[in-house]
Amino acid sequence: SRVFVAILSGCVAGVLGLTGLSGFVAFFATALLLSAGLYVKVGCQPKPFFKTPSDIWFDGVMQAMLSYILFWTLFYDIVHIY
Amino acid sequence: MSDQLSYPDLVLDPSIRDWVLIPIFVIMFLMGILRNNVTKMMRSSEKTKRDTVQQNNLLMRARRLRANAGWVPAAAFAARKHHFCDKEKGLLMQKQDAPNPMAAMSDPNMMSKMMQGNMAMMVPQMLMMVIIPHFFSGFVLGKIPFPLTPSFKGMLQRGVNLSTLDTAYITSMSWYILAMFGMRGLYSIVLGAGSTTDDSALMQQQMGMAAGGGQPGQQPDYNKLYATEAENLQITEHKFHLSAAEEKLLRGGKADGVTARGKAKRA
Repeated sequence: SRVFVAILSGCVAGVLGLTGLSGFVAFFATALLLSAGLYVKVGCQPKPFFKTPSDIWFDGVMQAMLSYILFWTLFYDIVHIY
Repeated sequence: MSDQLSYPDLVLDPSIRDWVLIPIFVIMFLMGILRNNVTKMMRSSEKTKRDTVQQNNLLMRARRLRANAGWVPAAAFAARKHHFCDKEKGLLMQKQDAPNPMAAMSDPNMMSKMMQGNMAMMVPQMLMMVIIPHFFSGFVLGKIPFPLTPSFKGMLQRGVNLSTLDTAYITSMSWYILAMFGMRGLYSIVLGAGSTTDDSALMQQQMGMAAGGGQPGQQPDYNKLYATEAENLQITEHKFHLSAAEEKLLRGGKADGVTARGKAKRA
């Protein structure tokens, strides 16, 4: 789900034409939003669903970020460069 | 902002987008799916031998007995131990065929299987590495939306030697690399988690194998494993967890044998 959100937010960031730091801020904001949503969804009890409690915040962030960068670049190029 | 002042935006031909940027993306994606399916097809033909499964299960049984010894009475444990470790008839004392260490290497089947596995990974990679610079070199194809230091120039702008060009402009090779890394997440969605396209996991696995010393296809020596397991079983100290259950219950505390068993069941 983290990758899915990252791809979506990457598309949005690209279409909006975010560049530089603001794009990364957008990524972390959406990732944080997802984590917070998950946290509420599991009723503030990450224990039975995650190996360690911190996984809900950090698991797979790097992976998601690479996908984010890819889609961000793709849509930024398509919409703004050409 | 400052680099936008010093470098005016380049105007790129839209046909670059239609014929380079998007095709590379699509090719990468389809290639990944193809690779996933090919690997799956190859793996399904693999068969395990019956003996190996038997031997492994025997070892697992002995190990489980050792771990859960406290839950059977002393007599039952002794009987099981006898079953495994008896000098003449114990299952762990039977002679096994010693594997020939060279057998795995000389077995052509094994070799070709290993080769195939690696090939399925390497060939598309190499092919793409050759094809992409060959067809799509010599022009800028896009711009990454974040600034980078000039030291990335050599990597991102391979084939375009313009010293004044902003580092953010990329050529086909770097778009390929970007797509390669970014696709992994996409595959995990499209193909389901744990798909075989995860290169880094595969790499780690191979490293682990190399570090572990055992050749991937080589059989372990079951004689040695059995002997170790039998020895472990012999020195296992048997303490029946339920022997003091009544006293614990009467003392008013929770009978911890029972709760422990509940825990074991849940775990």
